[in-house]
Amino acid sequence: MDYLARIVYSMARIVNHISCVALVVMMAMVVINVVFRAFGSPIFGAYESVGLLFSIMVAFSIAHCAVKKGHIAVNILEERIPKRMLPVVDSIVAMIGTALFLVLAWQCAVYAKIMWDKGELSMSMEIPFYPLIFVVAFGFLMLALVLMIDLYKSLTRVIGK
Amino acid sequence: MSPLTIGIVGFVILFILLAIRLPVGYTMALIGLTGFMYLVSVEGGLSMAARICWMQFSSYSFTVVPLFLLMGQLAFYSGISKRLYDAAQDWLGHLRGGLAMATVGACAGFAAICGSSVATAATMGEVALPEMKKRGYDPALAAGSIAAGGTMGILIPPSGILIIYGIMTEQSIGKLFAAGFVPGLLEAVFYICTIWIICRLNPRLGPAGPKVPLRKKVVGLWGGTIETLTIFVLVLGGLFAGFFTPTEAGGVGAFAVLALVVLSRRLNWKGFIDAIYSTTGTTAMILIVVTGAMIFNRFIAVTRIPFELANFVAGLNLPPMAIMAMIIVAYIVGGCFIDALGLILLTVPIFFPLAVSLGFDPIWFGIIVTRVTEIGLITPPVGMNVYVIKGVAKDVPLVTIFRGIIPFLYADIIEVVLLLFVPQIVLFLPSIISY
Repeated sequence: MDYLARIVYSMARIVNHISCVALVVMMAMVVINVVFRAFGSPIFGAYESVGLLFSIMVAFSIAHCAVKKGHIAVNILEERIPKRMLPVVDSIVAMIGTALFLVLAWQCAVYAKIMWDKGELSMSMEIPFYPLIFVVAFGFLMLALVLMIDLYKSLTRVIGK
Repeated sequence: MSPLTIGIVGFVILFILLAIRLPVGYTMALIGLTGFMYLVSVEGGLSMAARICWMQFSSYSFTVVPLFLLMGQLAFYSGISKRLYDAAQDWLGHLRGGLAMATVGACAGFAAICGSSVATAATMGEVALPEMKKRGYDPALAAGSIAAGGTMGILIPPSGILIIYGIMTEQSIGKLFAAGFVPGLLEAVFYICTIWIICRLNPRLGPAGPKVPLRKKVVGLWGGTIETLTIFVLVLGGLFAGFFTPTEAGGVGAFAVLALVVLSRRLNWKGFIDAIYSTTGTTAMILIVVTGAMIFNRFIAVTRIPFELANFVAGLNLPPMAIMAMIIVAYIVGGCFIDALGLILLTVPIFFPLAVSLGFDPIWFGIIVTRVTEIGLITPPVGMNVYVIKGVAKDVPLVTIFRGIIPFLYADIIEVVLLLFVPQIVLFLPSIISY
């Protein structure tokens, strides 16, 4: 399991690098388009590409964000939950999260397949949507894996007691 | 069970799951998805969730979020806050409580290039706390002025919260930014007056510093203040004039800050990488909450809760102002427990239609909600800004920071009442801009 955890965490880190690159490209594209437009020749499909880059940026950063415990939660009961109950509560939270994102990953993959069959293309540059929807599905799958490792970690604390 | 009952059950489960610390975005997505599947159909719910995820993740309107975040993050790592603070200190440091006033002024300045309250409080905390400590300021006043001053980050444009509000309610982000400007400045003035009053009552809290010659004051302005002003005018001027879309304003702003700090050699490679990293991380966090909220909203729409609530409230025959007062109290109470973004996403779908049906201006309502949410950032038990300050000032107990907040809460309440009864303060600027 530790081996799996290492693989998942390093994959989350690697795809997060892609996310960072997508952000920089987004910024560059927006600025270049503004400059070109000022001279009367805006870049063809700039808005669309920024939106599509955004999907890559978000899908590839959600798992790493979960590794860093970056997804906001409400902490009012933190100190009121008895210490020995914490691993149990953590297990429930991780279990719900894993199940939710497995379902979302699966449904996004289904949706990508539908868009593939329909041959849906973006408006101006006619880029097919389905590969990017698969990327989103992959992002959710990675997030589910990270949460599954959280689940394993808190379960071992429950059993270890 | 009627859809309305299911909706209420959904809310109860939502609060239970939030209480066991399931992240806000996951919770809303889960309740929205299962509730929708129960009320409409299993297949309908599943395909709705997938469609919404893709729609949010690929939406051009949300691309504004990471770009403005990046602009704020680059400013955070660039040392602009230090230069702003030095300039403000030159002008105000010789007054009683002057360093605390300078802190508020520098927070307002930093808020003009950063859309996040937490980032504003964090960067100012690192700069201003050591200075105030050196001069023997009361720790409660020092911490309180930064925590409260930092909240201006989401009111003075750019603002992450106003962006999210604008997208959710289909209001112009440009107009919302313009509307936040005067109330944000007013807030700074109110805080400075608060500091002036408490230091007058008890001069030991903030000893006056030496006077700075006028020449040095003017020269000092040339650093951070001019930089900040230039970027602010470029970014928001372009947005207000209709030359940029909000995304372009964010992109140009991020690039302008980047160019500035690279040319003046104040940002190294590590700072740049850190800024990029925290931007993608925060965007991921925001998008998960936003997507969860959008799924949740579909469910809420099917339960007809907003409609029933509006009917119920209309049946009460209360004056609209009384209802608005209740909404504000609900936000203040909610803000004590849920963070700003979660609170806005959870409540706006319910309260926005109500406010509009009562005849309130949607832009004005956005500013009121944001202004009230700011209070939640500094009230116990989950005042984010207080914890940020605590992170910088490890030797100051939490209770002391919360004690330091109290005078600023009075100022907050007075300003909210003022904005309620004089909506022109909010609506004048947006009425004259084109975008």
